[in-house]
Amino acid sequence: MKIRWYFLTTVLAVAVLTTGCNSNSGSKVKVREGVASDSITSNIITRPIEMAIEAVTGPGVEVTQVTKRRNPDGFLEVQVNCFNNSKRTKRFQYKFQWLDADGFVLDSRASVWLDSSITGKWEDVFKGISTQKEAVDFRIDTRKIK
Amino acid sequence: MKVAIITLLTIALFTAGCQTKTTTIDITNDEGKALMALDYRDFDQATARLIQSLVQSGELKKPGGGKFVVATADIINDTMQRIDTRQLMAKVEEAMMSTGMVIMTSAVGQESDKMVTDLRDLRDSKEGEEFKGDTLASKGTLIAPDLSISGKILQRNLKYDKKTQQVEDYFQLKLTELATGLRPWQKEVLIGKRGSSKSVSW
Repeated sequence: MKIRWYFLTTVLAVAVLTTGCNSNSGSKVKVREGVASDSITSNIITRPIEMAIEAVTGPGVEVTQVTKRRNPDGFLEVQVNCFNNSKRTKRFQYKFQWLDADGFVLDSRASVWLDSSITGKWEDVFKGISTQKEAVDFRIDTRKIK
Repeated sequence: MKVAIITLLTIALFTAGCQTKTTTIDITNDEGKALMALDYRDFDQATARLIQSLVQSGELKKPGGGKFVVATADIINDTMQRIDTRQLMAKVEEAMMSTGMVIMTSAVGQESDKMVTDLRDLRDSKEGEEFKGDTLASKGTLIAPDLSISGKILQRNLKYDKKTQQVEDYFQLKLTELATGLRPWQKEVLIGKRGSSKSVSW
């Protein structure tokens, strides 16, 4: 019984400590902490408080749909639909990386951190277009604006 | 004397280490705070938005195939900051060429290479006789541009409130068809900042 209690406590502690580390919406769009959730700061001490706040305000930005197409000129276009579950406007940055057929990252002037925001309880999109025709795939990273 | 030395040593000890440590910027994932003046992140962001708009417009596709020849025309700096407009155009030109749909020319325009004309002057001069004839550029070999790209960087400084100022930087680019004078594409990207009115934006 005592062992079971220890086991449960350990499992709960691990769950609490790892929650909010990273929220992945599929493998292509990485919605990082601070974008995905309303955070005060991100550390072990404040995380339980943060989680309590989230329980009331809800999490932050959630990716609802990712659409890609090749435009008439042969460039890969991607549109990411997001919903902000928070009541407040979420400001964040995103960065596209374009990959060729071999999975190599293409060197692109357009692969830089770009600002975006979504008002509270609202859906919006951000888009990217590869500037090289060799791009066949993509990945997107996000981060909170400091 | 001793007192003076001790005082100097004490001051030296206290001030040593107060200087800000020099670090290199992680330009791939810079998490540094925003500056009121335009920095490389603003140019990167403006370039990315401008080039994405240009690629999306479909105006870089040459009817009948092949590549458009593009010349860089005037890029005006109408800001209070001393900006070399090459900071913007070098990135834009690089991104345009990476599309594989255009080729930039160094024969004419703001980015013309003096050697193109110098070599021709040399060919037509007496000294030109010293060069092997077939290694000099022949007449009628230069290719005229089909398109030109020009633009402007504008800045507006506004008073937001007593302690805060608002700086608006507009990056404007336009593409012109040189044969017809028509403008198939143009785009403006705005980068706005609010900060202390004590800080300067230039």
